[in-house]
Formats: sequence, structure tokens, C-alpha cells
Amino acid sequence: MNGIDPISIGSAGISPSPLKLGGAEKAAEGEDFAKLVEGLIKDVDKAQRSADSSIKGLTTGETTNIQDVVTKLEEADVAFQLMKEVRNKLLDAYKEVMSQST
Amino acid sequence: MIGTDYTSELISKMMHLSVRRQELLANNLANLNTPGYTRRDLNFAGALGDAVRKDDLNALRQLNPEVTMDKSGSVRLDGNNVNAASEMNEMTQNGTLHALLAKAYSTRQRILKSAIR
Amino acid sequence: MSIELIPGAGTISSGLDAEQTRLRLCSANIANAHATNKDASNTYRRQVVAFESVLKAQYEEGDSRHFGGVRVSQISRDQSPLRQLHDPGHPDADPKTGMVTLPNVNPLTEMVDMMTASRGYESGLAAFRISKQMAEKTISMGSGNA
Repeated sequence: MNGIDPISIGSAGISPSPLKLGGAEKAAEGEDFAKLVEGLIKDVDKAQRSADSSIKGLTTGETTNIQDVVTKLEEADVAFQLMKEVRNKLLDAYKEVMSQST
Repeated sequence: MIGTDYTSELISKMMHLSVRRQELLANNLANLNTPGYTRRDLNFAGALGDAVRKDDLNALRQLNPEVTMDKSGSVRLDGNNVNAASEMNEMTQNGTLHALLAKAYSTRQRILKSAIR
Repeated sequence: MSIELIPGAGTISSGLDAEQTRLRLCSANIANAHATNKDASNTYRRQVVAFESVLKAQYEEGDSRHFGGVRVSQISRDQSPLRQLHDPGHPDADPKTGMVTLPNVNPLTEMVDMMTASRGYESGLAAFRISKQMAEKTISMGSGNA
């Protein structure tokens, strides 16, 4: 599978580590989550920028490669939808936890 | 204006120009057998590229490339230099460019809409 | 201005143009198959077309992107001997020998040439259509109907 990168979810990634409980771990967990969201947003931004630059390349005549432009556009779309879904799921989880605690 | 950015404007400008060019190409094909006709073309790639490289939104908005007389290509005995095959090729290429731009625009708008929702 | 979004389309259209020239010359040859002239040396001679492949300016070895297609390099006259026919009643017949000089056009050869040219034209059209479909499919990629 040369040349095909899997769409990565943030530089931090989602590690399937078991949930650790304990006061000492809490700060680290919070940082990871922030990193995850930040990474996601950065990736979406990067994908959109590269889609934009491929459209610009089309106007300046630097690129005449339509598959390149379409692939980048779709990547930007998928990256954004993924980020949105992750955010929705996290919000749902947060709401559920909040409703349990009351 | 809310909801537009540089790339969106660039796409819509290019779509607009490619539609104008399509009209010219159709006109060339219609005059395939007009004696003494010189083919016309709209060369927007150069001026558009310059505006994009400068990142100048105003230059992009005001861009209005002129119709040029294209004297290249072999002139037939009747003084006409329209070639049906190459004209069809240009039309198809131009149509593809338009379709690609339409796709780019709709993808961008889809992302924007789902961000609003 | 020329954009190359559809790979190979420009090359194909140059081929279509070349084949069209060939077809036109075949019809001219057939039309003139029996054209005679008072001056036998001015009798119509069959026109032959020669193609040559076009390379783009920045041609690099093994780089297929720089093949620019085909063009008509020259249209020449077939120098093979003209046909002679004994027909003393013909207005263009030689008054001494009664021989008429006819063009060196063989209608059968021309018909075969015409068929080859028209097949070439058709395959060019098919190739163009496929290139266009490829571009269309690429653009509709990811839209759910590709």
C-alpha cells in the first residue's frame, strides 16, 4: 500500500489504554485529551489548506492533475466529518456522565 | 460577505471565466466554415495565476481578461484557422475544468454547512 | 490557452485531424480518378499524405507526457507511372497515338485507404470518449455515485 496514508486522528492518536483511576493520573489524562482534540483540529486544518493550495495550483497551471485535486478535497471533507463525529461522541459521553452523577 | 473566503471567490471566478471561454469555443465551432474567420480565445490562466500568486483579492475580483485573436495553427485556403478536432478538445478540457471547480465548490460548501449545523 | 486536464485528449485530437486529412485526400483522389488533361504531363497524380509524430519542446527520454501527438508532415504526389488507355475518340487523346493518359489512381486502393483512415478516426473518437469518462469518474469520486 504505497502512497496511501491512513487518515490519522491527530498526532496524539487514540490509544486503547485501559481507563486509569487515581488522583495522580488525572492531570496526564486531561492533557492527552486536549492533545487529541488539538491534533484533530490541526489535521483538519492541514487537509483543508492542502486542498486550497491544490485549487490554487490549478489556476496557476502548476497542477493539471485532477485526481490529486479531488483526492485532497475528499480528504479534507472526511477529516472534517471525522473530527465532528469524534467531538459529538465525546459530548454525548460527557452528557451521559453528567446525567449519571445527578 | 459572510460565508465567502478567498478560495471560494477564486473558484467562482474561474467558473465564470470558463463559462465565458466555452461560449467563445462554441462560437469558433459555429464559424468552422466561415471564410477568413480567425479563432478567438480567452486566455485567463496567465492573469489569474498572477493574481493568485500575489494573493490579491481585489485584483482577482476585477480580473477581466480580453478576448484574443488566435492566429496560431495552420490557416486553410479560405483564410480560416479553426480546427474542429482541437476545438472539441479544448471544449472538453474546459468542461472538465468547470466540473472539477463545481465539485471543489460543493465540497467546500458541504464542509462549511456541516460546521454550522 | 490550452489546459491539459484530460490526459491524452490533445494527442488524440491531433490524430483525428490527421486522419481527417487522409480521408479528404482519398476523396480527392477518387474524385479525380478519371480527370484527363490536354497536356498529358499535367495529368492529375495521386496525392499521398505522410504523418510524423510530434514531440513537445521539453522532451526527455522515456517521458511519455511529452508526446504531443501526430501531424501531417507533407502531402506529396505519387510519382508512379500514369495509366495509358487507347481511346482515339477522347477529346484529350494524343492525336498521333490515340492514347489517353489517366491519373495513377486505383479506386480500390483508395477505398481501402479510406476505410483504414475512418477506422483510425473511430478509434481516436473512442479513446477520446474513454479519456473524458476517466476524468468524469475522477471528479465524481467520493460523491457516492462513482
